[in-house]
Amino acid sequence: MLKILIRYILIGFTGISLLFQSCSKNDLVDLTPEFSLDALTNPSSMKQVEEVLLGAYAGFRSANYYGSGSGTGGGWAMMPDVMSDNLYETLETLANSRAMADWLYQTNTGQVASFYSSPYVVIANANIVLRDVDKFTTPANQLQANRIKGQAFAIRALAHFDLFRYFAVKYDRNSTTDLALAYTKDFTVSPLVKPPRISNKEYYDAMFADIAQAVTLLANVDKVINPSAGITRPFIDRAGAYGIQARINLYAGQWAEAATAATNAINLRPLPAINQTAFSGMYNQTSVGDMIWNVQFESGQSGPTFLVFFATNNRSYFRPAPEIATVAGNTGLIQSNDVRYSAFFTSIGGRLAVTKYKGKGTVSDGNANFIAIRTGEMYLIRAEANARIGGANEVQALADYNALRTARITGYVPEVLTGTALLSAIADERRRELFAEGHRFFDLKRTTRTINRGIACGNTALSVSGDCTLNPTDREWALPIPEGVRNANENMVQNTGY
Amino acid sequence: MRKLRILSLTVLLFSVQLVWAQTKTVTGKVTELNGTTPVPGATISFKGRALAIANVTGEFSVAIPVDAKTIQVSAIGYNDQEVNITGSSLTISLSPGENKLISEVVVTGYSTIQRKKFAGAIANVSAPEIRKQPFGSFDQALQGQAAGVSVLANSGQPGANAVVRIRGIGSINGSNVPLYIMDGIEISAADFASINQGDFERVEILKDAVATAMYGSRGANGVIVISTRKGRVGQIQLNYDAQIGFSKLPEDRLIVMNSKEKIDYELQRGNPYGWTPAQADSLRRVNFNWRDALFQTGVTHQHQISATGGSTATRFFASLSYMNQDGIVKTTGLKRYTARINVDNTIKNWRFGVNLQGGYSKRINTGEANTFLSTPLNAIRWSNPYERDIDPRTGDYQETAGPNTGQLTSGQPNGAMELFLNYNNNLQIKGIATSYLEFHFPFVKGLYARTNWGIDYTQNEAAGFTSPRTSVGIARQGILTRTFGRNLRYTGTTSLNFKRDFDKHEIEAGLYFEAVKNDSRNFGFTGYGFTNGFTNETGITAGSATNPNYIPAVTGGGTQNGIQSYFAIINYGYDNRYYINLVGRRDGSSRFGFNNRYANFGSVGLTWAVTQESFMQSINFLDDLKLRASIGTNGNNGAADYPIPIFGRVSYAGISGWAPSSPGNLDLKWETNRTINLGIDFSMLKRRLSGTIELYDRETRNLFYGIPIDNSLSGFGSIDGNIGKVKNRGIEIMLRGDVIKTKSFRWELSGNITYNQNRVSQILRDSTITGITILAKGKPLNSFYLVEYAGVDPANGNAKYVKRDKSTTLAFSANDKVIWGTSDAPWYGGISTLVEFMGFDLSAQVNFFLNRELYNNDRNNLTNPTYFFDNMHVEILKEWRNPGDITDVPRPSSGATALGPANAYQTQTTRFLEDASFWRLRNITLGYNFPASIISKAKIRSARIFVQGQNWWTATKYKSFDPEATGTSLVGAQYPALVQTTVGLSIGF
Repeated sequence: MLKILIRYILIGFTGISLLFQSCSKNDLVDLTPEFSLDALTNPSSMKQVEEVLLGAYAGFRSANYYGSGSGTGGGWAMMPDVMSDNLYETLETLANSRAMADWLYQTNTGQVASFYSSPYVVIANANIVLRDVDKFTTPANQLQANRIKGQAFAIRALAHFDLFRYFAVKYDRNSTTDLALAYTKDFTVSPLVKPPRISNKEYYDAMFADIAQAVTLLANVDKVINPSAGITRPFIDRAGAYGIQARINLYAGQWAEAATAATNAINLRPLPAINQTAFSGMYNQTSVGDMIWNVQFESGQSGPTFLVFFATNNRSYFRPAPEIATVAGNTGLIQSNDVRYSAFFTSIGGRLAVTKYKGKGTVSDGNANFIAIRTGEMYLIRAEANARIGGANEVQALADYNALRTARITGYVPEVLTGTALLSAIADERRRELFAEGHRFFDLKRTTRTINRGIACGNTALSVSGDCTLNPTDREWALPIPEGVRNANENMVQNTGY
Repeated sequence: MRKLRILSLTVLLFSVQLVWAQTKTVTGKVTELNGTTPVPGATISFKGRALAIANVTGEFSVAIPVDAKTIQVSAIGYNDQEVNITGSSLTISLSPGENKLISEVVVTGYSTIQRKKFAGAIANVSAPEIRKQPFGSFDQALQGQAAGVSVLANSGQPGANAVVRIRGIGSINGSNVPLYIMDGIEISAADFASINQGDFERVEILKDAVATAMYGSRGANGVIVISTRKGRVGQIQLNYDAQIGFSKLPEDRLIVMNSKEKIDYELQRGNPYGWTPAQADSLRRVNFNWRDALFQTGVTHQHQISATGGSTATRFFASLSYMNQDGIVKTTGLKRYTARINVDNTIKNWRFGVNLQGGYSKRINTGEANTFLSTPLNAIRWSNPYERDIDPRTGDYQETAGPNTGQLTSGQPNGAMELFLNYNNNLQIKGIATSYLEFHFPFVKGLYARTNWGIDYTQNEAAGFTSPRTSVGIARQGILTRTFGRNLRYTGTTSLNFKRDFDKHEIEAGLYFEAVKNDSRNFGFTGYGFTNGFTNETGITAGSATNPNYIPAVTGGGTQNGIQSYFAIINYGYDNRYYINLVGRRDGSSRFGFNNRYANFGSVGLTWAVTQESFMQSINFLDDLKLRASIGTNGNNGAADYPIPIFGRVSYAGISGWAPSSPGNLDLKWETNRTINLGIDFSMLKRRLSGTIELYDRETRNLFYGIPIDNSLSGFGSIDGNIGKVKNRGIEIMLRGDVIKTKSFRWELSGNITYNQNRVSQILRDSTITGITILAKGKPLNSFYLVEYAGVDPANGNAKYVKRDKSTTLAFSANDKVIWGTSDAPWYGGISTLVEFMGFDLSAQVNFFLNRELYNNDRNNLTNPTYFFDNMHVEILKEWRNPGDITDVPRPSSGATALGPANAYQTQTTRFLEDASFWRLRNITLGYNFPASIISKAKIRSARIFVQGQNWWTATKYKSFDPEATGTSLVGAQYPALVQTTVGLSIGF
């Protein structure tokens, strides 16, 4: 019995010795990943190039871009509202964004570093697309290539613009001394490349060039980018590209160009006459509303709300300032006769919460889309541009202003305004229409350059916030270049004051 | 041709025999203490030279010089004995023990070598010490057992592993985890919940380059070699071991407010919940203890049956074990079942054996080391003391924030609901199988071939359920996450070895080939919508486009890595005095760039047995003195699995896409360690005092380091590369002495102490700050970088800080940060004592970690004035209120006041840096061995009862449950190490 056993064991060991022979370098050392795509040889087809474009869109969903973390993130979603006078920090806060909300950020603040890196992640994807798309373009798929390239150019322009909004000290269009950031057109992985900050003028030129390419290419594509019948518009189509163009022109102070681009966007996506359900439906994915581009958050992909309102347990880290809205709904900028009131707010436990992004349908799980560009904003851009041009253009400005308010407010009676009153009314309307959509801090930065937080600030029964004023000369209007970036690239000149 | 020549040479050398001029023959028998059970395999030596091995019945016969007065007897598992030669037939009884430093053999995993011939720095850990301690993860029992080995538990959850570091931290971005070898194959580190330490026979810790050279490719962080119990020749012996006991919560040094204090504090801060005077009065009297509600006294059971026996041809060891350990947090615990069989055979020129172990464990855990509100271990600190787990009026969970919120008034989730309604189970199946075959060539004495193959298979299945009633689960009506993962690693080592003694020369050489490959796979899903009352998969409601909230999520992935090695080992000894150990090797790893996958490592060690010199013969008090020196290199491949740039899968709007997930680095190469070691081993006064002193210098080069790059280029902030050097230099002292040693009474004292100096010696950019720590040249890793807190300005209640120029300021600035201590204790060790008398034995071990600092984030979260909606640290009661108050707790408000400027709460200050040094009574055991005369009547071979305590006493200033936490910060939700008491029984038949 034992002998037989030994024989089998010997045979077994002979087998193992054979295995030993087969343990070659290929099996042990030359291994390649099975669950990810080798980036040395890919993308290797037009299909894969388009898949990398989707990677760029996925990057917009980052917690620090249009998504949110636990009381953090939302760099271009609700953080500009947190950093402005739109929201105040409550007593329920977990204080995870205190450094941002109270303008305490320094070069080592984690969220500043994340706000710097998130858009460049998106840009990296766009640059890979633009690097490789031409390799696979044939006469047969030229229109498909246009569709992919056009979106990549628009994305690259938008992400650079978003960086510019935070990190540039000033927005002057033609300044050759004010510094923007690096405008990245190539995907490079190397510690030896150290791009410098370029001037505002060069940076604007690059943004306008990219968005112009996008507008041209997206005019001639193989298929509709966002189906008109859908209730979501997750991709940047030609209307989206015009929207981005209008926005950049507004910041650049190129009023005529801003108005033209806004008109082009409006022509493609006119302002619908919508009721409460249709307006609110934009935010809970039951209606397309007046949106031009939404960042799509699918089930399990979180959403933009968690910086301000923790939808899963109704905790409000920040609440709307009383100057914006109140529980009673009869004071403040947004009152209960306004479709925006119940689309944006809910009274929970007797206090007003920002429930705009609480979830899809009637669910409160925080899984909601972020509406990044919509026709309402285009009306306000055109109105502001025309009002600033002044003269005869004020008529068009007032018309846009009244048209938008008619669409939003029940029983609205058109107003007659001119001059600074008109400008100031348009600014207030921007604050209403774009509340918690990532504009307020930048709007103040490009206009009055002063923040005076309202009555909630400093009221210890309401808010823990201690810092209520940001003056025009304060360094905090621009975020500092993060320490880690300057460690890697000494050509990144620090913003004044840091 | 060459082959033939070697053959003829060895045949020639073989004919030379070793003889003394005049000899006498001594015979005898070696037995256990009872005087009857033989100890086969005991080595009988004279003046350090092994002369004979006891046979199956323990008998031996040796020829020694006529004038010899003593011989030495040693055997694995027993204390050495020096025996006076009285007559020609001896009866020698050996006492059990493992703590031997000099004359033992060393198992390095591939080979067994006599310790005295080996230059490597090795610590031998007493296997009985590890076996007896009722830890769900055996590495916890290594604490304080060996110099140079820092073992810190990070968690008291049953089955949780410890953090083991050998000779300091060498790597910044790479792995610092030692390599674990069991019976010659690599086993997964830090994953021992399904392994039974009752099966361990030997544990050795290899520390320097020579000792770890056989593992050169993976040995940079030290190697822990475990040998499981081998069968012993003789009649079958059965053993039964059992322990039963309980565990408790340690003393809490972080005290929170009681109900009255908290209510008064809230009222003083503005009454955020608007308590009426009547409500406040009633709440003041509640004083609910959240700690008592969620903690328990846990019960531990442990049983093992083992058997050993065999003939000279076949020996076996087999065991079955069961462990059931409750945690101190209710619901948590570990259940473990293991089985093992080890068989070794010798037939003619063949030796072969198989070791098989199967283990199954079920761990029920709770969240720890996080700052989530919903974690029950945070709830015990944060929940207001005037809230309760159960509403006394309804008998249901209290939800004072409102019905169906799962929350208390403050928004703090009810910790009792989170603990009792949710579950978190981990099931593990682990199979470790090794086999070897050895063939001794009949025609060349000392030449043999060996192949050793084994697998370590681990399968983990986890289930995490969040009840639809809890605050986290409400939104999607409950969450069930199920994951499954398996990991298979095979290790194969094939060698040709040669071992011969001739004349004054001893030579041992081996050529090796080794293959290690790891393959892992995992998948999982998360389901929602628990509306039908079931809390398992049956409860899941599959979502749809109209109900996207319930759409389940699925995941999956896998990875592989491998190592291919060739190496040669040569050990040479001359005249029992001089020894040299040489290792050279070449290793390839799949984790490095195409150009740098292979690297060469080598080491050399020298040993001088001073007491063997003739000039030392007259020095009688010294029994042994040995000097050792070694230098060598080994590698660390603890990097990410693939060095190439890769895209990871993403999806957007329901469509699949790709995004860069790793920048890759085709030039990534091995991180290497160069270690110099000097050692002295001595034993004196008839071996009453022995010890080892080691001096070492370990330099880690080509450090794995994330080279920072500007995100603007690629979206990545760093590329994995190799830059910089870290040095660990230190001294290790191990001493063991018999203070009193008579026939019936023995008092042994032993101890070890380590001083490790960790320094960053080269770095890409000096003073790189990461949060609260800094990487600075000339300073240790994990050095704290904080602004010094200087108390409170009595005039306005503002916090004061010390500036770089030593003046104080009310304005906090990150630019005033300075370097403080480190969280890695430079001084650590253990002291143990053993008293044996009349069958009783009393042992105790005290461990210490000194000069260690740890940031207390748990206290920070109880101090932050923003969080006064929840409970707070009692220190807050001393808060500044009025001008003139002298205190060190600043005013809670952050804005500027009429009295002073803004006073934002700052966390990155020394206010929360605490001394985390500690002394701990790790183990105390009182045992009794029944005398053979009594138990033999009951046909029992041996019987022992004992009672032991773990962590009974701790001295520390650190404000928490337990100073034994790893990392640089006590994050929060600490699951403290258990304070255990068990009663044990061992019976041998």
